[in-house]
Amino acid sequence: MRRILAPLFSALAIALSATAQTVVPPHQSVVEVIVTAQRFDPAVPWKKSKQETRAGYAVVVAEGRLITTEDLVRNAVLVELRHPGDATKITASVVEADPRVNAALLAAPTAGLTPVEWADPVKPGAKIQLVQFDEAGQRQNGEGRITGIEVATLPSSVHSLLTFQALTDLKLDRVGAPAFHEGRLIGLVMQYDEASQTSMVLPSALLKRFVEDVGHPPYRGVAVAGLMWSPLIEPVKRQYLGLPNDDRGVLILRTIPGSSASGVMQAGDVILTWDGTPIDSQGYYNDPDFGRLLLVHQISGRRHPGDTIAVTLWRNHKSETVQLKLDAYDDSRSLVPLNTEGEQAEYLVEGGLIFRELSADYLLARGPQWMIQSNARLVTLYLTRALAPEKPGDRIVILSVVLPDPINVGYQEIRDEVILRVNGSPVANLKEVFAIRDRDKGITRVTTQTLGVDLMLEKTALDEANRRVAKIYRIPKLEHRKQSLPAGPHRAALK
Amino acid sequence: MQVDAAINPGNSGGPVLFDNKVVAVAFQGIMGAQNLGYTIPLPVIEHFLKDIEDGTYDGYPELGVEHLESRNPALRADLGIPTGISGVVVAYVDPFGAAAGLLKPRDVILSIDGNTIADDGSVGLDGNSVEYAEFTERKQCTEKIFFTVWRDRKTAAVIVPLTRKPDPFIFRQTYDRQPEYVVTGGLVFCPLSRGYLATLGNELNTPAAQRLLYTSRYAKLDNLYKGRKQFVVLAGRLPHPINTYCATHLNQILTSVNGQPIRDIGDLPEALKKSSDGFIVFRFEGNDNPLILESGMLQKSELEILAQYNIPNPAHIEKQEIAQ
Repeated sequence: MRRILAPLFSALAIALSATAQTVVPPHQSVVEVIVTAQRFDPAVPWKKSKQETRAGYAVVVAEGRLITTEDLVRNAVLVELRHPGDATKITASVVEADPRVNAALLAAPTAGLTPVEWADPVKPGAKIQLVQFDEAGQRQNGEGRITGIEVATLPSSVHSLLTFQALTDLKLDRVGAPAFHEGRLIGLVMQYDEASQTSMVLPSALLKRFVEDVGHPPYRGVAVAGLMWSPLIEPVKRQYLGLPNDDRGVLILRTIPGSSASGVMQAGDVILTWDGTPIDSQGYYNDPDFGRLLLVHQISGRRHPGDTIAVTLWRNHKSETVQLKLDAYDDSRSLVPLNTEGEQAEYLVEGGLIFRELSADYLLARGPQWMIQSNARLVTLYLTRALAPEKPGDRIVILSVVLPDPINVGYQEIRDEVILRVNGSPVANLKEVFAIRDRDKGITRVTTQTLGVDLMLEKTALDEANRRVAKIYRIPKLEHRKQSLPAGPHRAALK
Repeated sequence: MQVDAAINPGNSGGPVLFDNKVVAVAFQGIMGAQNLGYTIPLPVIEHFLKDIEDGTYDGYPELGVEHLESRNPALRADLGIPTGISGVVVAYVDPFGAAAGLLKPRDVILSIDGNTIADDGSVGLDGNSVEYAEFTERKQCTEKIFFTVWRDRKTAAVIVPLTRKPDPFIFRQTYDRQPEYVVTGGLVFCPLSRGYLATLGNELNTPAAQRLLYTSRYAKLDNLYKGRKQFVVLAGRLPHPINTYCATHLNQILTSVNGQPIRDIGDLPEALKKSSDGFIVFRFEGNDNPLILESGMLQKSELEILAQYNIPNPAHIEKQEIAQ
């Protein structure tokens, strides 16, 4: 009954608010989200870590659609929604989740709830209202103020994005608590610091774009330029490049191989204007909505993959305008992918040797001291070459660890070793290792970067050893191969 | 050698006696344990005394060989090792070690000075089972060591004259030597060394320090040392208006100055003289962002900085030990 009535009810609500120009009380669009999540152990790729439960909020953005932060639903096995004060839980599914923007769109029945309206861009100082619910479902209202608008690193990834800083009077204990400005959604709280009473808010400007982009499938993710730049404030360096000392322009340090920037820009070029807007020597531009912001927002927050923009460069002591087609951010193109979303890593266990590709989550899993705890060669590869494969599809294939078994006697101390060849053939990624294994019906020779002698496995003993290793180490599957994914962010759709 | 006598501060250097004869020299105790001390045993003392008989200290000879056990049947088959023969498989030969050019990867070391080596690398010696490398440690530089190896599916005799070649890439602790450095424009450059890495402390968890750590561990394995004698690092900055924007390059490895490659600290003063159009361009390993100073300003700043920071000498560069 409730389900049948729902569309009628919300349609009515929208119509009312539209005609009367009044705003629905914002708390009527908020639900609690309870997530059971379980990720794969980054170090032991067939094993799932202990499951965890997270609680947060989601906001209805349209009939049957809700928005929340991606980190709340990351690695979710079950997403449930609950109306505040109501014990009934409704199962939701993730339509799309993008760690690059920390946004996730959920699908669930939204009967009895009203979609929010999006707030227009605000300036620092704007008053906000916050809503959260206590254990009993009692609503808690809070007041706050936007104290800063800046591009900052997200709490749950290495990516930078437009964020609001807000000072609030409510102790926020869950992710995704909505913030409103004059009754309209201004953003979702990503992080709260109790000591300073400040929140980091994911702005509705980005959430709205995300919802619209998901509404036009295929979702292509965030636009990127494929270049690295540095501020250009040193007067001597400006003089060296023949630039006027007028506080304009940033220096391009590198273009990512294979990106569209790599064709039209080069290291040593200076970006004077981007997409029609002057760029200052620290990389800021004047955003029409939010004021002084880092260039990053002009790319990822105002443009889409595939858009072509004009860039004025200072090259060889004169200015030159080039056209740049923006790419879609794609972690899988990296030599060392981040795997922020914690997808199960591809692996192969053969004769007790664990083959896999180097990824950032594999290194970061060693905790805050990961740089010191990990192999120095692998750390340096990640820190210096992560984005720059020599050719598309290249990865670092590693022998992460050897599970002791009679077949690998003598090799058991070897770990985190870079693999150059398997059965005598060079391997640029794990797919090639799989292909060689399929072709030769087993891996019998492994050439590493360090050792001048190949690691050999006895072919006739391999099948039995694999069975033994699987049994003793309780490995349900001796390999995990991903279906080749389409380009773009990972789709975490749950059944 | 461990003893159950208390060793307290002040005891270091004291003799350990057995039947009224010296058997060791005390050097350290263990914190948190009672009456546990470590002493330098006789073989080490004798080795040292014999070493300095000719008036110079050479230290322990180093073979520079890494090995794998030869127990794996597939590995044995690949190398064609007949059953009943034991030894260790050479996996890496250090280009600065005594065995460089004499032993090579895939060699199987079967015996050392006539003693059979087991598959795990152990050799029976005076009733003990010791690592085969112990044999080289008991010898002096200038002595020779005799190996039987399995190479190309037959046995071969290999004689390795023991040496300890100067190895700038092993990053050992050095004593009683003033560190080399060059100060220019308040930028302090010095060669990468164990002592320098030790000063990083808490900074080790940073990308620049990680690169240094990687360089120190993998210089030879990943051929980073080719074409170099040292890795020159921007170790510090003595703040002065000329180097206001240089702090971001700290702890990075200098690769060139004005296009001149920096292969050791001695290259730096020469390269600094070759300005390009009035600028000095410093480039660093893995960093696409160069550091640029203006030569006129740089020259003007030098004496000022030395005076301001009380630096008696703008550089200390040792003469190269090996003739060039």
